[in-house]
Amino acid sequence: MFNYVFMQKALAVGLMIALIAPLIGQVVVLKRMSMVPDAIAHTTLSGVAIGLILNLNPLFTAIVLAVAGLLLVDVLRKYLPAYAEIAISLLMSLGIGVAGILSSFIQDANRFNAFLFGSIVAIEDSELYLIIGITALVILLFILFYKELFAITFDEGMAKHSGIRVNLVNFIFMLMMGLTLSIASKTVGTLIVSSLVVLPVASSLHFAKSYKSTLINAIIISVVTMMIGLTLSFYQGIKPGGAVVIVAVIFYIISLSLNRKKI
Amino acid sequence: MIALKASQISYAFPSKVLFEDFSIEIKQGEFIVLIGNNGTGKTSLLKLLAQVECPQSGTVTLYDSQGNVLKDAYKRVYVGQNEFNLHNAFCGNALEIVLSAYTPALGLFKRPSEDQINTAKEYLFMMGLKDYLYTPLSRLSGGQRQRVFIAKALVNDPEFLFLDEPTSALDASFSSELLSLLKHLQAQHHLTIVMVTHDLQLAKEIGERVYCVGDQDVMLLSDEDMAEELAHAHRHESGIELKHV
Repeated sequence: MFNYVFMQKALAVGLMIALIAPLIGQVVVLKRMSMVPDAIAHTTLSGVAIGLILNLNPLFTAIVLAVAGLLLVDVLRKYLPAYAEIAISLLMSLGIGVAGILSSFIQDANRFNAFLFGSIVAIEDSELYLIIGITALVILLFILFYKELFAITFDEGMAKHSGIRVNLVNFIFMLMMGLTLSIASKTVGTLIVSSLVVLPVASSLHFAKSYKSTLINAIIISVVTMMIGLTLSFYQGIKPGGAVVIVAVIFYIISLSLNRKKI
Repeated sequence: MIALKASQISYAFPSKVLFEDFSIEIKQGEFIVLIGNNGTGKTSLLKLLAQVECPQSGTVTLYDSQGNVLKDAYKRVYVGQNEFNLHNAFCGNALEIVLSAYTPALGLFKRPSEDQINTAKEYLFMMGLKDYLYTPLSRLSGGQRQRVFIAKALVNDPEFLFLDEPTSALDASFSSELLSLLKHLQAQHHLTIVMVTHDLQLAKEIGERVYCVGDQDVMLLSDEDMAEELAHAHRHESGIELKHV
């Protein structure tokens, strides 16, 4: 499997996504906003459709739409504070609706389908470099804002009261999430990416000793999940997104049965 | 020296006026206690004084030890009521949570120093949590969580403490230890404290001024009032209904 260049690229991209997905997932799970990545992932799908129709790189248009979608969620949440989940639901519907309509105009349906459940083939060099750059940026931002993200995850209201620039940190986090989800859509697919964000953290929470250790364990689970999923995809010829997410679910069930403490 | 000045603050829910045109000046190092029946607005008043919320009219200004308007938000710490009931799924451990109190003071990109980590540990020891430094919050009891939050409130050398029923989940011996610690901090560090409590006896012992938050007004209780309240509370065993309300 390692002899094939396309597989080397797929594994490299998979590894990068698996490294950064839990960074987003930890905050998302602990802030109880696990649905947000799903909504954003659906929005990236309409970005992909726009890219394919306009003959632009779909990864670029996916990134633009993901960030725009997150900003929209932020605005909607301010106008609908008591119904924040409606904003998320609205965005998810809008994203999938637009993608559904636009998909009728795409000549090469296979290219579009590759973004639904992911694909291990056809990662261009330019995309690989973009993904490396985004991964490095997300990791850097996470390290720089680690303690601010911790404070906001723990108690956003009190973080604001104590003088932390909550709006700035939230904006940066949203940006990190948009970037991560759009590059993840390339390999694991938009329909499945949110599972990769949420499930390794959820599994890791069963063994939580601290915020930091939960994160490290989640990264390990995520990387192992991704490698097993991509290997299965290669040898069995199944779609990588499906393989990865089923492995993630199996890990979750194992962690649940090993430790039945409530999380 | 004046530490807190609230001028003509008013606050109302859509269905009810909690208080109107209430003014108070609190001196540096003073210990103020707010009492009152359920639903009269003690917590709302505390939140306004702590600048957690803004009054619908009027102003609340806090001053630092030099008499200037307080700039560092983290110097005024608010510990909410029943916070220990929240965070049931939070995986951060006691030490991580206490250390997060340093975040606003450190500014972006910096980590707590060794000294700060040691101070955080000392406060957790003081709160009787020596064996729980590395236990996730989700596995601590309500009382233990409340002690973690108090350690977090104290660790970064605050000038103001706003506490909403800080002893509600603590057992009697720990409550009294906490109150002696607060008294000590107040005396040694000129900490200004405003505390909400249901415990009249406690209010009498610890409060230098005790305010009763009643329907639509807030009144200062004299020693005689307090004695009368206590006698009244003893007659009505629940001890909840306050006469001056």
